[in-house]
Amino acid sequence: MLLLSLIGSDLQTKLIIFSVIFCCAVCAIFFISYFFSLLVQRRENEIQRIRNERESLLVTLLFDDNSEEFNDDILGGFEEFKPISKGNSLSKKKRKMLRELMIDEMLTIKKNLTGAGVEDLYKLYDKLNLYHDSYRKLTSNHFQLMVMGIRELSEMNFIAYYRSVYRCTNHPQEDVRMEAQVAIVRLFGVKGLKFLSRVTYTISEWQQMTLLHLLNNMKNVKPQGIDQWLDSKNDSVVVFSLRLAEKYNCFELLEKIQHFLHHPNDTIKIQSVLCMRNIYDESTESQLLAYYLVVNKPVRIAILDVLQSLATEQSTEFLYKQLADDDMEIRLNILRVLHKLFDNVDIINSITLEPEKEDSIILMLDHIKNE
Amino acid sequence: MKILIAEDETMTIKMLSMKLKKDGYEVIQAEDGRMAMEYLEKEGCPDMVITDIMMPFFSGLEVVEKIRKELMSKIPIIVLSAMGQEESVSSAFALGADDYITKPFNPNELSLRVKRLMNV
Repeated sequence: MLLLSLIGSDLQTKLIIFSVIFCCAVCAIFFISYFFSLLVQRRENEIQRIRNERESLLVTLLFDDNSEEFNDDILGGFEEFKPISKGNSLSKKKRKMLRELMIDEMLTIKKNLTGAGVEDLYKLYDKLNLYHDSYRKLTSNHFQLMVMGIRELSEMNFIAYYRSVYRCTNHPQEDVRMEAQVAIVRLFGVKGLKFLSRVTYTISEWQQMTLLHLLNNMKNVKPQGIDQWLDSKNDSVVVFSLRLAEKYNCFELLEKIQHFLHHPNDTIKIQSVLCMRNIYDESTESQLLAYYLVVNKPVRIAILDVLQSLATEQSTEFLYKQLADDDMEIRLNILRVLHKLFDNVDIINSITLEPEKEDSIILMLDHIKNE
Repeated sequence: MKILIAEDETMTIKMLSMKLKKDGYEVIQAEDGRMAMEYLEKEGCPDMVITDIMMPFFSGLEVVEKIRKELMSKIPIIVLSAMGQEESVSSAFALGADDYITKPFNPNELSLRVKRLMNV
């Protein structure tokens, strides 16, 4: 109607009508946005209120004197923990959301707590059957949910579903796989490393560091199976096993580690060299010096790194000769080794190089001295 | 005996308060560095302060500094630190903190340390 009236009217009328329509549209948009922001705000406030309530509930349950049996009177006041029945007034969606919040709060509290309180937290997770919610996530088709489910089960030390978690250690989706590997180690310690026997996907450098960090905080028990994992066809498993061999001082594996010096993969070569910082015998130093001549720069730097702790005067002549190398990084690392053995003055007196190189060496020695 | 807890994580502050109240202390909660500073300015020093290092507005180190240098008080101070904050802990000791505890912590251990410092 409005549009029809516009067709026959003059310009001024058209402008007025357009202005009115425009103003109405702006007002409508404003009111709709305001209404939605109010709704969002209300929902956020409600969630925050529930969160605070659950925080207090958790603290009361965990630090109450009767915490061993958890106070059913307190829990009875929370609908989401009651079994689903006709009398239960909560909708399925709200029940799920409230239980989610409880798990979230439990994970938060776990971050700041050690000792008996954590054990109580595990018991409470079990008592409230929250593992059902975590397991539902683990079996979902969405990888983000799977990751969350795995994390919750492992953080809450819930072992019953370990088979499902273990299956995920070789999951095609990287995040799921990584979380499952961490979870299995968190649940079973070094025994959890069993997954290395079956994993076919690459274990990233980051993941290897995460696993090693996790193991650092656990009892220092040597894992069984490093020997077999070193035979893996998965190169990343070999690299990780070499790191484990170094960490747990597996001297019995020295011979096998030495074989890896001739592996086609450079990362394995480097890791086997680095392994010799902790695992070595009287022949290692001379073996590394001979090996130095046939390898590329990254492996050479690894050798020099190891020589910083292994080198004796036996290496001196060889190292002085290598100082003629044109690569500055190599020269710097050689000097680091020499610095461990001699005073800077002795090193400078023993050098017979072109004046330009000698100058740079003096500068490098000063730098090393201040390291 | 009054203990001021300065900590920005609500869950931790609730846990600490509950534990210390159960041990018979009166607890004052400050949810950030500014609230802690305001309390100290208005009410003076309580019998003990437990403070987190990383907090909004003012850090735990500033709280320790205020108590020792400005208010010239010798009340016991325990610093709460996260893993990897060793340098901040040393700074806190240099400023006059008496003890520290690393998060995650065992509430019973904290309770024992409080008792020791309060000579209970």
